[in-house]
Amino acid sequence: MSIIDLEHLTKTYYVRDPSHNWKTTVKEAVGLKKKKTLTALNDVSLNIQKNEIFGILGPNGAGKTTMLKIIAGLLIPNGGEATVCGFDALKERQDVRASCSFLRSGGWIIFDYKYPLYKNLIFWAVVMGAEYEEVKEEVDAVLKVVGLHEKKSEFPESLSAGERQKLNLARCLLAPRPIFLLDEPTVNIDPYSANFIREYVKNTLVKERDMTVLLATHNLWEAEMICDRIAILHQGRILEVDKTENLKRRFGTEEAVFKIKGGVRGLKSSMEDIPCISDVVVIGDVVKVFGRDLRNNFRQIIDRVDGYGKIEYVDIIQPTINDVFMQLIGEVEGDRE
Amino acid sequence: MRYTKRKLTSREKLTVLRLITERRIRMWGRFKISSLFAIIGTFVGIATFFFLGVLVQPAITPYISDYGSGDYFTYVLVGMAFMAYAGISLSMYSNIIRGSYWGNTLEIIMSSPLSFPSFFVMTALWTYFTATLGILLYLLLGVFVFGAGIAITSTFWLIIPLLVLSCIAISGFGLMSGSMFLLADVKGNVEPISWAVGVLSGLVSGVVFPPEIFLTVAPPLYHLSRIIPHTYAIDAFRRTVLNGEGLSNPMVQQDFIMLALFAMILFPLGLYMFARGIRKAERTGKLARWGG
Repeated sequence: MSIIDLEHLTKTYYVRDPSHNWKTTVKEAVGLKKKKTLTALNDVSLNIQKNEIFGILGPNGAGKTTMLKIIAGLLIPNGGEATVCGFDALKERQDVRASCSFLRSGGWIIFDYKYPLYKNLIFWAVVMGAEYEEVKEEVDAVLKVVGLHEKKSEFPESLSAGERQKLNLARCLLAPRPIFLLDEPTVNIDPYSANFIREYVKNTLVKERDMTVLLATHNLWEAEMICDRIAILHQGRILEVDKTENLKRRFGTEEAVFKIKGGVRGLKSSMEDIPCISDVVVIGDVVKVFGRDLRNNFRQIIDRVDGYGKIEYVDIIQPTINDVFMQLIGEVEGDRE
Repeated sequence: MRYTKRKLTSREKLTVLRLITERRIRMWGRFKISSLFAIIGTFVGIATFFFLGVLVQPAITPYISDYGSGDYFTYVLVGMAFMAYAGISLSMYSNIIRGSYWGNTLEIIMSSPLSFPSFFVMTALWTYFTATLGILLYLLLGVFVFGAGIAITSTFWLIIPLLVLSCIAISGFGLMSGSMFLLADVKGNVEPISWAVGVLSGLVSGVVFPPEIFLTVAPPLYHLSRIIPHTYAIDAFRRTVLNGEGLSNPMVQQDFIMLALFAMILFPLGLYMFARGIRKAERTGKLARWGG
């Protein structure tokens, strides 16, 4: 069941360059000069299923946060339609807003710097619509999840950048809503805590509590770890959207590494007719075979290599989302050059 | 754990109000030194007008004889007390918007089931409450230390509807001023509408001298005084507090009618402009300090 539907969504921002002055403003107002705009989203269509962890990956300025803001009902698009939890993101924005918890990077600034952590959390959770009595009972458990339990009576001013981000995450966890929008959730957080938070998102929020999570991140490894599906966004356009495994299979390049005792001369040319192989690199007695879906064609490859000598070592290195990302973005950037 | 609510009940709104108040009291307590200096400042301010009154009393008596015993110090004290409320109504909205924007809480408040007007009212209640404490201190010092001639009369209750009506009327300007932050991208501390209304009301509305003075010196300024609600509010405030005049008095009636007219025109206009400002911020992505 689809919980978020985006249809041909477009968003442009009006951009003021540093040379902008009152003359430019007047010219723009009377139509003598066209306003300079930046297209943040360009004809984006997506649907996100209930109970899914959906990753949005893209370089800086790709439009990730813009997309999250529109889904959160905080930004009005220029064109297209967005439906969130059955509510129209243009006409029923208050209901859309009430359906999403939005964790923004740097969102910790809202906390009163000289007010105890747990009181800050209770305050914001109640403002966001959580029950006061429930929040009072839950605050300890949530602080444990983010690893701040021992600092519950301290002031935010004494927290490190990572701890402030944890506090920000705790605020969202205390006021749960069906859709969780995470914009760089583990930025500045230590690897151990970040891993714990990922597990919590995956196992508790999604599996136990039936929530849907949208994760916008530059941490490709993190996206690969927890996302069911991933969209790769570049310059406001979706380049690809698919299940994580499918993306790797479709766009990643596998690498088979062989160490061969004996001669390797002629091996490279003998493999050219195997369709799944894109390249073969020979370095001394090591042969690297690149291609897609090598695992399913492995018997054929092994037979060819085996004819040249004794195989001492073999390994297949699977592609990662990082490879997929580099491949897809590289293609677009390459075209541009 | 259940999902958060889409709308808060009145009881839940009261809980939020209690938490806001708790937080504000704690913040207040954090700045004890500045509170102390504020009290000293109030005392010095009152003393200044007391001594000024000694000097100007003979010259100004013909102009202010309509109010109480015609004592200049008492006249100014009441005017200044009213202006404290007027100042809040004028600046509060832009202060809240500015604070929420720079503190990145505007988006959060927009995402809260607590409606935006409820948030404003809750924040305003505390601001008016602290202002009332300040004004009480002001009046107590004026009466008991400097001997201002203020007494509780039978029409004293009228100051409550008068203050409410005045605050609504002036809030119209306040809302327009707050909208400028979002509509015209006025992000500095000085905002043109509140600045202009503040300066104009300070000069012509009769806080420290009656507007009738302008009739002989600068007639256009007298006419300006008639187009802002402050003038009528201050006049009615003085007549009620110093003369014990009630709604049966034609001057008080006229002041109330004018204030009601200003409230009916300015407040909806302010609300409209404010809503336009929010809508513009939602379109341009300027609800938060940093875009995305």
